[in-house]
Amino acid sequence: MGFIITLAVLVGGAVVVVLYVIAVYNKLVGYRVEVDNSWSQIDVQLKRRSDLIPNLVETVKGYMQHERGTLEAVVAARARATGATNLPERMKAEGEISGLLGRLLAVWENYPDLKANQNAMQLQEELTSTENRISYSRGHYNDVTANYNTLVQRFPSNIVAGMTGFSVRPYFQIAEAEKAVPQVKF
Amino acid sequence: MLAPLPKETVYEARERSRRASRRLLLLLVVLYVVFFNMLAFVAALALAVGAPDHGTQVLGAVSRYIARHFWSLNGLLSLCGAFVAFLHYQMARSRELDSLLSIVKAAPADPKDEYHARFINIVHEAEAATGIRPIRAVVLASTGSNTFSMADGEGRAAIGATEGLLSRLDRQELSAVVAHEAAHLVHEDSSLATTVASLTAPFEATAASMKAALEHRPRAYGRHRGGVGLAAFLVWLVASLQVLVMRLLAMALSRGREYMADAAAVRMCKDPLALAEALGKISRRHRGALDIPQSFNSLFILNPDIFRLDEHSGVVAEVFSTHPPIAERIRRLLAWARAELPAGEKSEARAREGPPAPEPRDYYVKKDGEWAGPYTPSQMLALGLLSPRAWIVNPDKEMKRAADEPTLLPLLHERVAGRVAGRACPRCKVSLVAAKYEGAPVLRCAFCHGYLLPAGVLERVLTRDDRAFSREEIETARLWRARAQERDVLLKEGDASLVCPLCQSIMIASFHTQLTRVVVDRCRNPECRALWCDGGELETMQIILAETAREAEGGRQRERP
Repeated sequence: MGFIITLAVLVGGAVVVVLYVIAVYNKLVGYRVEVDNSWSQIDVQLKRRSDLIPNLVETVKGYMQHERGTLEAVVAARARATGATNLPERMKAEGEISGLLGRLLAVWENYPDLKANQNAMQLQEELTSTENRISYSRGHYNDVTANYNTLVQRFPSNIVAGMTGFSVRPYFQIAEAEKAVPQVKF
Repeated sequence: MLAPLPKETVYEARERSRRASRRLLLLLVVLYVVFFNMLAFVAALALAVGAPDHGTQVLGAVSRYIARHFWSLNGLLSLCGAFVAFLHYQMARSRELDSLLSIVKAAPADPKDEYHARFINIVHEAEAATGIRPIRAVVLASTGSNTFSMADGEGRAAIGATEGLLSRLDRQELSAVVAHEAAHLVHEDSSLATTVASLTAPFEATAASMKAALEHRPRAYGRHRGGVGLAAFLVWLVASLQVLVMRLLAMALSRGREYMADAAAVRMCKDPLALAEALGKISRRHRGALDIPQSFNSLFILNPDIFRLDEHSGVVAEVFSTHPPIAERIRRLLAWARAELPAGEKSEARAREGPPAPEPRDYYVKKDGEWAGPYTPSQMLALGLLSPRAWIVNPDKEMKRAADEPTLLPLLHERVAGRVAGRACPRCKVSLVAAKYEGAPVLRCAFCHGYLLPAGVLERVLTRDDRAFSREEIETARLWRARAQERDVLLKEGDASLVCPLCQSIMIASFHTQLTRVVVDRCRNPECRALWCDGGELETMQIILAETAREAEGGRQRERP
């Protein structure tokens, strides 16, 4: 009799553990998919920005005489981003583009001719929106990653994660580009 | 009290709101079951009592029956209640986004239109921020200002705005508003609101049918009509009460959710000023009423019914409105904006409450690509040149955004707060700025230097003498007094009456007193009684009164040996 009870308790316990492991595993898979998905969203936005840059340079180079250097730096950084072989290198270049574009958008209003140009107006809106989307996507990626990492590291789900090969993902941090200070011109 | 900005991720926010919703739904289901029991018992009892011939017999039988089978009856009714609740829940969740959108007559945004294109872009940004995708951008063909968000049971989501809103808000403000709506989507507020609304539906139907039965067919039941009528009346009464309770619950829920969404929006776009400004604009400028079914009201950022109580505070207003008072929402947003200021600027903001210091003049501001100026800060504000993102040059020749300039930031705060109360100078039609005059709250026009004094403030100002007057002001006052003593001053007839900036009633020109003979305009509305003093008049009154008092004092002293 005692043997049967012990057996029942053991089997019951084992079933509970197995169910728990399955639940945690499925949760981990779901979270990891979300992390990958939101990473790919950042990628989509970066690609979109990359496609906008030639158009940008073409449109504004006639107007922004003082920003020649900035425009050239943007083009160079874009080339480095597309040609990058590893992730840190690419992210460094993308970070530079963010800083430079931020500067261009800040001085944009100093060029009344640009504001009269329909094409340039649309471009400004697209650039602003893309920059915002990149930073929001980054924030969202970090949110999702925090969610996933918590589950991977927390006891007892960390045991399941360790057994099934889930590891902590890095956060996406970009050094904030130096704030653009526009020149006063009267 | 101000809740600190939530430092949670989108997921934590969603979890928290889901927990709150689950608790509420549980409460609702319990209420539902209780309500069903109440309805059935009331109906049974009323029928029994009302039956004329064998009333007592039947009553006795019914009560014995109820007593014997109390628990099984109760269980049966509860099951019925829960089942109906479940059916309604399913029905509410199964309505598709398209059919919901067609109820409010929303059309997809047109990417060829510039304003719409910007809106679509901002909605895409909201997708990036929340991870909910796709969110459809839809537009209501209305000149009013409002926005809403909707989601169906399948998670299809839409954010909508009126044409009026899209044209009036600038990019930052629109972003903040869309972030607020996106926060509603993250919190899954719209499906909850729909669910609660549909849970109320069976009680509404019961009440309505009982009312119809009472009004139209009292004779049809022949000799039983007394009993049937009483039963119908009691059921109607109970059902109406239940509808009221459900609605109150729904409203309380909706108000809480609005604050939560504001907080989440600030966390998302990190710009509490822009959201405050947008709320101010929406409520102040043409807000417009929308033709929306009542149960959809809580989906909008501002109640689409213009409902007086919304803007009032107090228990009654709080309980009976779907949205918290805008002034309170803006107050919280401004507190967040202020909390983000460095410590030094906070004391700067507080220091403004002293007597008015002469304003620095040499500000330049960028207007349509050209530099304009020099202006004082309040002139820029009154001309509408000042926005948090405007480029300015300060007297030290530094160029920055207006929001980065410590002397302008408090003004921007005040403008946002002032806009809600929202008033224009009755003479110059530029917006009045909230100011302190000798410690009393007044509204000041930066151009004509006139003051608007709410009822009772003039008396306060006249009894205070914190302010030193300039030689010029004293000269003006003495001149006026000399003319007044010659009975030279008459009320000018035929002057166009001013319109009170507070309540839009007519203002009537009259002498303040025969002593000063200063002509002031007093609002005719007995509940408002605001007072308008043109530039210099308030100072003149103060000086004349002070001088008269001094002379009287002097005279008395001279009389005494």
